[in-house]
Amino acid sequence: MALTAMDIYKQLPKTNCGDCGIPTCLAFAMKLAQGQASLDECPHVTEEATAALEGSSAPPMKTVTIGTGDNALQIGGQTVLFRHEETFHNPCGIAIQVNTSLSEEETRERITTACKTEFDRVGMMFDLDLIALNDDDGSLPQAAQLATEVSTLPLVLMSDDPGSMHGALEACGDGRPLIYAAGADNFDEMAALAKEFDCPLVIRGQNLDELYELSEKAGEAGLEDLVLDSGARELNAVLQNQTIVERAAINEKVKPMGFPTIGFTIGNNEVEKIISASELIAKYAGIVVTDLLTRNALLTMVTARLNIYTDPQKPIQVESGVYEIGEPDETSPVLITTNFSLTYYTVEADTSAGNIDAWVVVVDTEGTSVLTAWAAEDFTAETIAKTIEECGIEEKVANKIAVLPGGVAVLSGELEEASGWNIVVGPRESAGIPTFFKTEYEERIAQF
Amino acid sequence: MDSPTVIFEDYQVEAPAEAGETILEVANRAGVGIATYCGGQGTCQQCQVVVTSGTVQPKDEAHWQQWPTATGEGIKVLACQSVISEDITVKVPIGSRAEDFIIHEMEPLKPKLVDLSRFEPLSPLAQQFVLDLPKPTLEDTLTDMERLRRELLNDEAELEPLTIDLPVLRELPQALRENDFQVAIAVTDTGLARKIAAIRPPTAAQRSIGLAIDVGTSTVAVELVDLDNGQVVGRAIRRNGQIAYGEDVISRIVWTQKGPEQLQNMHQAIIDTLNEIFRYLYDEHNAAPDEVIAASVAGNATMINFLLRIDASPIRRTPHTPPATEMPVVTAEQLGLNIHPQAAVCVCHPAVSGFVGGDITAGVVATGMHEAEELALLVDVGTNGEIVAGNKDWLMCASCSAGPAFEGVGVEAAMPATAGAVTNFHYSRDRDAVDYETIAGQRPRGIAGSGLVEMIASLVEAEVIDRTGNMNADFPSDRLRRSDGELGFTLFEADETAIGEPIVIYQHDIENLLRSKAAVLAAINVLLGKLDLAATDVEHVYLAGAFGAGLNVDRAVAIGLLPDVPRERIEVVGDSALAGAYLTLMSRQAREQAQETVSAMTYLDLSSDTDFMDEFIASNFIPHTDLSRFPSVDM
Amino acid sequence: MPLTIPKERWTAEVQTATIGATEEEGGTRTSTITIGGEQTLPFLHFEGETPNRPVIAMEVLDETPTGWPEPLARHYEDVWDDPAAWAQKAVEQFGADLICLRLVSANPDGSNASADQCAETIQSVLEAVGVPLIIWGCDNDEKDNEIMPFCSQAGSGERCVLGSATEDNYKTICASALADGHLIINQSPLDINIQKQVNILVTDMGMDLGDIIMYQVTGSLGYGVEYAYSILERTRLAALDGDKMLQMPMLSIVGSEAWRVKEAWQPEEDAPEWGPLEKRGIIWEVATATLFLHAATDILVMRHPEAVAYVRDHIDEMMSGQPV
Repeated sequence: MALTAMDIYKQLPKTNCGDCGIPTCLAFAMKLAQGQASLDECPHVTEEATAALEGSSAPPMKTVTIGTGDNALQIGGQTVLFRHEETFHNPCGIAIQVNTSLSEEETRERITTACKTEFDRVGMMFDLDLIALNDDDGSLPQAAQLATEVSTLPLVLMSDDPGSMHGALEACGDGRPLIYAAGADNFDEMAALAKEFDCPLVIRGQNLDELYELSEKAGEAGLEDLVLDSGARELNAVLQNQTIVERAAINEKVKPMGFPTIGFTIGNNEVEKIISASELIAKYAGIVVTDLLTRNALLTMVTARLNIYTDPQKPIQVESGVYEIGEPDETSPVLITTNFSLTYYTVEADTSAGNIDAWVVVVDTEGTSVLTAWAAEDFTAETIAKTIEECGIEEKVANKIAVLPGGVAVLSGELEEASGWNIVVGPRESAGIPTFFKTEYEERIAQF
Repeated sequence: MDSPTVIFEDYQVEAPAEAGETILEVANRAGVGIATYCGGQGTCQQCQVVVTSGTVQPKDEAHWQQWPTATGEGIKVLACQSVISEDITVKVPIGSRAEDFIIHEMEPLKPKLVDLSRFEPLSPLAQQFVLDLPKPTLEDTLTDMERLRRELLNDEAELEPLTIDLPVLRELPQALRENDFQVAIAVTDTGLARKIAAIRPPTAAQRSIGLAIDVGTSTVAVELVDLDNGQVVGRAIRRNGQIAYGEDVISRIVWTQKGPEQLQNMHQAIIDTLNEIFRYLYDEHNAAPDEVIAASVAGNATMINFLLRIDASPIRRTPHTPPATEMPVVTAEQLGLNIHPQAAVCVCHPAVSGFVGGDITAGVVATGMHEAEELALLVDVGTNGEIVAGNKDWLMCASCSAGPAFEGVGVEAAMPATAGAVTNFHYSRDRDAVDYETIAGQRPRGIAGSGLVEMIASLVEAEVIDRTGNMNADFPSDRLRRSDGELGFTLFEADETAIGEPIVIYQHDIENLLRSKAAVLAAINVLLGKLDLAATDVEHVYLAGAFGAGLNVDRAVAIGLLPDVPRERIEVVGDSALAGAYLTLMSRQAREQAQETVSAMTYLDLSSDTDFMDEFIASNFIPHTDLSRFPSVDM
Repeated sequence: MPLTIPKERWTAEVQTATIGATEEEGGTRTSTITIGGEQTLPFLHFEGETPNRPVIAMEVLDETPTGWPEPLARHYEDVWDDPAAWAQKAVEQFGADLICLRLVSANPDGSNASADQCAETIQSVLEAVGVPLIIWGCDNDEKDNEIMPFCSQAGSGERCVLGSATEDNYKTICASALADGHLIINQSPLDINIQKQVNILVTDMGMDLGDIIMYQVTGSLGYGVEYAYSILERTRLAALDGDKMLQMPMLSIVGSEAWRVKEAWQPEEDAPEWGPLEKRGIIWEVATATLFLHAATDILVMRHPEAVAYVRDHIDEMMSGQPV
């Protein structure tokens, strides 16, 4: 059980000296409880306290790095089972499987395609992470040699044969590939290779118990960078095993389970494998290995990963820009609001409820409401004027008149100056929009 | 030509005006509160008034085009844009009235909060010593200052180190010799040092008086205190004159960001407000400014910054850190306060953060929760809601933007707890009738904070509104009417009220009030939740701020303003900030505790807390979407 | 055993809801659907029972759809002018567990069909198929309040599901459901607290906890999953932790949401980086459904027959798993 802030506080000196950089001992205890600080930051903590608190402050899951340099992939490091409690960290790696039995040309093409695949979503580029060389004909060393030349992505070397693995590792130099995998049969050899080449190692068990035993053994052998494979190859078993490993790591702090996991897309065709990939992405996989390389499939997987690894605690935002309510034309009113989705959708709902065709200019306030954004200076004459200028509303309407939320009436003068638009102060509450347009708007704009 | 006069007919106020002044400026000076939240720029359109006789001139043509408009009663104009050139009569319609700015006597504070026996022996912020100094001779050649020191320290060794400021030193030689070395010396205790603050002839020193001051965002309260024994001579409250520049702290900060002149205006508005209250107290209690030798001030960080004319804009910006939490001791002369010029004006209660000010730490000291074993909660419902939880081992605080709804601002039917305010309210569905009580037994003028709480509870019970606060459009009563498309429920018909107009609660008013209460309850729950505590772990709930002693705590729980704890644990304590200011005025020990309290306080920033938004929405329901947390509430 | 299986001690289970009424129960349905009753998170057989499988409702519109991409349209062109035939095809050929009839024709900005016309459609669909029915209004509060009492009556005794009640508009639909013995869908805008508010409000009106289904405007992959996934998961966690007001089964609209986004319909020539259109929409719908299934959805409202088949197989596989 994780200790509460109050449990931790009781062990601290309670002097509020601030030497840890945090003003009070209680605030420090809260940070410790959330895993956002470490106990050694307090210079006055007693030995008894250290003993009592140890463990509760260690991260429950190791972060493992595969590859080196700019394209190195970090996986694991999760602190929660449910992403609403804190976001999931380190998005899972997508590895494209390449069988070593392919011809050199095919291998080259497959790797190049994988390395070049990227998708533009929400203005950012998302790509794939690993090339998984699957030793289906014993030629892993040669394939690895080729891959190090062609691939910009780090490698997963998949072979049960320690000899093949040794050759491949030599070909990879100091590229720090992921070794897949050490099982009960080849544990000692694979563990030795991982040590020799200082590479992360996958531990594969036939079942959870074996996985636990092998992982414990690896820990005893001094291996720190592990990735776990529970051996399940049936979708429901995968789900159950993934859940158990993650719970053991995070809730129970079972050390041999405190590593990221690897999973494989299973199925007879593309769609079934997508289902499998979706499950793995949602259910804690650190790496998803797939042989799918179609744009359809990869687009879907990359999007699912982006969704699951988005912080759900961040306020829901709409994109800044111009929105249409009803069927606005060049004489329709222009409303200004912020990009907090609740704010926007309230305005949208109230405006449609009043049967008003309107344009809505949404200003990016990092997802805060009108008054909050104004208070924090995110909703100012300058930011609004900039949005008006950039969003293209000027081409859509005949008269430069916009309605400002009544709560920020104080901005109207500055905004008129900054934007060159005429500003009408609207109602304070969105609920007042229908009435406002029915009774006041025409009269107000008559002046311009 | 004589200067024109403005008659505010519904206030029965006749105010002289300078030609060229706006109606708003005259109204502010005359204590007629006209609502404005743009600070008189002509943008917010709140300060609409009706000129029923005479004409006014435009201040700025650009803003004039849509005004004036004719109404049945006269010409409707914006008060801030209408320049006076002749005698006029003005009607301030409901909806444009801020609040009246008239000074009121206030009820004494709860004895428990101002119990000086906790802090004996007393050591006020300033003390007066009547001395008969030996005159200098050839044998006794001490300087004037050393002579004073010798005599003072002889009696009161703990006054060391004793210092003097230049303005007082300048007066010293003359004052000693004019009074034949018999003088009354006021010594201020400003923490590390003691300072000689005033030298007066002993005859003038019948009384040494101090002031305890709570500078609230909406109201300012002052107590006139006899420093010799701690007795309160008089007490009064008034609206903070800064309301003309905005109703909440953020609006006011925004106003001051326009330039140094605006900051000066803001500063001057609070100084003027204080001086007006002082004048009232001097008149009522036969006191003189020179008798007042110290003032202890509590207030939120923004108010304190404005009082000292410090730029408060950092409070507005993330991470909302004020320029300073501990403030220098200044003299009354530096601020222009109408008390003894060398009197120390001391902010004894430092702020914790931009949004948890000294008013709250003052409340902690006053309730004594920082010395108790049991877990207590201090809830101060003002324009900002501030919450402190803790006991002698720890203290944690947070603030939320509650909005001024319960203080009578932003809800048309609401008003402060003064004469004519409805404090108790019950609507009977069967009789379609309202049972109520008002302050001073007058006909209703509006609803006070405590009345609003009872009103919500009662309207839910009668199913006029549902638990989300939505009015039931099918409610079978003529009281339910639609105006401008919005549903409103008439609480009092025009012929029942003192204002000649009906008092109506509208749908958006209910929403405002619910948001206020939701913010407070959410802050409480999130703060307790951070420490894995439940509301039922709290042994004492102190409710401070806008609500009068008449608040029905059972109803406050029923609507989910406060958590569901046994009612006997809830205590309405009133202005605990003023109580804290009083205690620090009278006791060094209290002043030291104030400092310690602040350094022990852990601040929780709810603005960056995701649980808060969640809890806020859960609390935006009557009483809360988690009904299991309100087992005693059955609606 | 070296590894102790970490099991949660949930204190409660999901509310069970039965949709549809057979002849014995006063209706005319040939089958009924029971959902809910889960004692654990989705498909964790090592921890608790999942007594009822999640089900797939297929969408039927009461007027001819426009703008459907060819890979979808080709399956419905022959029946989409006739809701009864459409429903029949969905059940008989595509194996729908139930039908979700959306009365889009009632929208005043569209065909503005009358309450009588809607009621007639409902009757024809009830006659054409034996599976239970979800009846969804046109998402215009005023019009829905006008038609819902008649629609409800048209299905009286059949234990249909009426959608949807919101925080601001729940009274008419709730009263109709109560009068005619239907279930109700309570809708909230991706907000667990508002969901709870609607649930409390309709139970205050007398609605039985077992007659409520929750819908949280879940959206689709790329457009809402990032929030919806956790809203569903949190709601289910709250249910298992004993929060009565969040224990009802949950519904996700997948079909119309997935096919609305440009990834599902934009032709390859306009979006070459997304690959061929043929399977893209199906994959999008399947991935959306899979994610919602694992976040604890009990009813998936779907559109493409191939997507339905894949998701049904996946549900089979998840349900037939053994405790590890």
